[in-house]
Amino acid sequence: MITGPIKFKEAARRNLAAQDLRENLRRATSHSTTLRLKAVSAVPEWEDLRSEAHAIKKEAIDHLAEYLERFESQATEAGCKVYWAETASQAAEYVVNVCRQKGASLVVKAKSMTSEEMELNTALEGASIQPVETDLGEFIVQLAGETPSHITAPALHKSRTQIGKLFSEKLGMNFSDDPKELTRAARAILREKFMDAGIGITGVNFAVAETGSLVLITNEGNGRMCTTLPRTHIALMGIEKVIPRFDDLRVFLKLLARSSTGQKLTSYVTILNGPREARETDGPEELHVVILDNGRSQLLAHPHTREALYCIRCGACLNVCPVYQRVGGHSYGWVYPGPIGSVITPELQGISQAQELPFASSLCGHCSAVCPVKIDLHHMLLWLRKSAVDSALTSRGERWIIKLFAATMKRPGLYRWSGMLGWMVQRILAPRGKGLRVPCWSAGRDFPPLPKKSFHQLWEEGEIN
Amino acid sequence: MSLPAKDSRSLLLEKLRRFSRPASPLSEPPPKNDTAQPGRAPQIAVREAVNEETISQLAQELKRLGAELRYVAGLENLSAAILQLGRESHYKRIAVGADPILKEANLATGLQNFQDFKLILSDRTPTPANQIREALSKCQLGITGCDAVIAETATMVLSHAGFGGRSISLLPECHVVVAYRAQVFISLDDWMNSQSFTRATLPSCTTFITGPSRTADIEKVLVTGVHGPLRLVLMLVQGGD
Ligand code: SF4
Repeated sequence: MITGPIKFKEAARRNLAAQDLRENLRRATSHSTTLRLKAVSAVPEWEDLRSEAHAIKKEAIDHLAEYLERFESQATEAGCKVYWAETASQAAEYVVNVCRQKGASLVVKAKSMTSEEMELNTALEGASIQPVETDLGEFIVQLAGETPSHITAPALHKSRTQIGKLFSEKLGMNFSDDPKELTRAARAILREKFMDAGIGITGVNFAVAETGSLVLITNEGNGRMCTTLPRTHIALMGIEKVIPRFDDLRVFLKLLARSSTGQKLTSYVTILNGPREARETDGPEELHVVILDNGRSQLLAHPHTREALYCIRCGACLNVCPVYQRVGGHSYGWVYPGPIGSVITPELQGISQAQELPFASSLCGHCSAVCPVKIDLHHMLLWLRKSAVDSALTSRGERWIIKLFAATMKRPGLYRWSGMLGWMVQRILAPRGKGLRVPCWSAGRDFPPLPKKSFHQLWEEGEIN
Repeated sequence: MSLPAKDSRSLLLEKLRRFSRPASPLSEPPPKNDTAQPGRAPQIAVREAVNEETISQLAQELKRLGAELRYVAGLENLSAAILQLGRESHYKRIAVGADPILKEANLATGLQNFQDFKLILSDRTPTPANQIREALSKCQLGITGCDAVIAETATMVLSHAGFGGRSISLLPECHVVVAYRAQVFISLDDWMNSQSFTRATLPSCTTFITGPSRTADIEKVLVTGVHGPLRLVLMLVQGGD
């Protein structure tokens, strides 16, 4: 839950001013973008795969109720306990109750953005249950008392020096800024936690309706740890995670890792069908699946935003977004940043809370071009802008200026006259050869100098043909 | 539990039904790509023969991932190959899974004869389940078989049914996968086409392992060895057809 309106502009301005943050962001996003491009260009059928993934997701979302029910019955058949939660707080309450019932005081968590939505750590701590984030990025962010700034690389806003300082401060180890040494330190600490924890909590990448399978994808192996050692596993999924058939996985597996990290396949793909069987020596004895709505059905209701439910959370649209690259994930004010965040936050949290987000885009369309499931992100942003304007959420001044602009553009006479007027104003007010300084606008960009002759004039005089 | 589980379920489903289409597509064949979709092989279990080229692609891919490949001339040489690996790296504690290939190689016995090693686990040591993981976590070497090896991505498919379960390929420092050469498939599609996946046939846990565990969470610097094994070795045994 967000408690007040998201102040994107304010946060973005602050983050833009932070030199080291911009450097960290630039390094991380350009690295990911390069790796992605390399991986994708090695697959000649990439575009076909995207179309195929889009079609599969469309099918799943169009028949969402049916596929979820099918998933539920298959997973239950396999021995899972399925719980449906309409709101984030219902889901959190369910998880806390399971932990209580099991008498667990320590919970290990693999990265799950759904759990961030639920503010699960706060809920668990409130019940005196210690949640430990085990994804290295999440572990860092949790140590620092922050929230993830990226959906697949939660700590990309931090430099190695910052992380080294954090570790020496909070974990009492000698300062090191060597990523390997820091990783080994986290490994040793977290290994103990995995051994001791009574409950493992993970997200879900795909839930297969046909077979009731849960598919988890991790590089570090923490997802495997959470589903191997604790006696109870709780898997959290949004309603959009369901896919129709097991066979569909081959399409998504080819797309996800390449889009996300530029790998052909993530180190570990774990496919779970129910809890451990009687003859097994490890794996959870109980497996709970929480299916969460939390506003997603709002997205489903609007034909314009429905596609946002196709998202497989690869993070590619964040990495290529010129706005995200500069302002970072924390500017977006809630769990999901970047283009996909700007689309879903207004629907999940209310447009009045997040009205600035659809405007946090240059509409360049790079996000739509890289999206592995072909979500038309930038047109959705445009549509959300329209609905913000329609519900009079933008400033009065801005709406007047746009009205004036529209009127001028519709009347050729007025258009010519305003061009001349602009040129005259520029001659009087602007320094020679320079453009005008327009209040507000010029704070962030230059107003290009107006030429003496307009295009119209040049055309009429035959200087252009 | 005193939660209104039924209520939130029916409320949520009701909401979703309002916006979903009612048709029943699951019983129908996939609406897509049955014809001329280049991204997708047809659903016929024809397995292409594995040739030298495939094996060298596998070798290359493993190298790129920071995993190792060792060739073993025959099953009778497996113990020796593992012993050599152990000596090189000063591994002392070793766990052997109960996969058919390892049993066939008589590995548990084979390794017991070497004094350098302490054989922590095998299906012959009747250890209570709760102690297995403690022991495994102290092992430097965990040896398992696998269902298949996929050359294109250097992926090993494990369904953890046997002894040592999910932990034996996860907790020890170094994971050794033993596979026959004949278990190598060209691509994931190739392997998936040869299988049928139903709820009844899928084991409780299947893992695709592609390289040792890794992270790039600190300044995008690649570090191998996070929570899973630091090291992954594939021992490819001649034969098996
Ligand atoms: S919207 Fe597309 S590109 Fe962005 S995270 Fe989701 S799947 Fe990836």
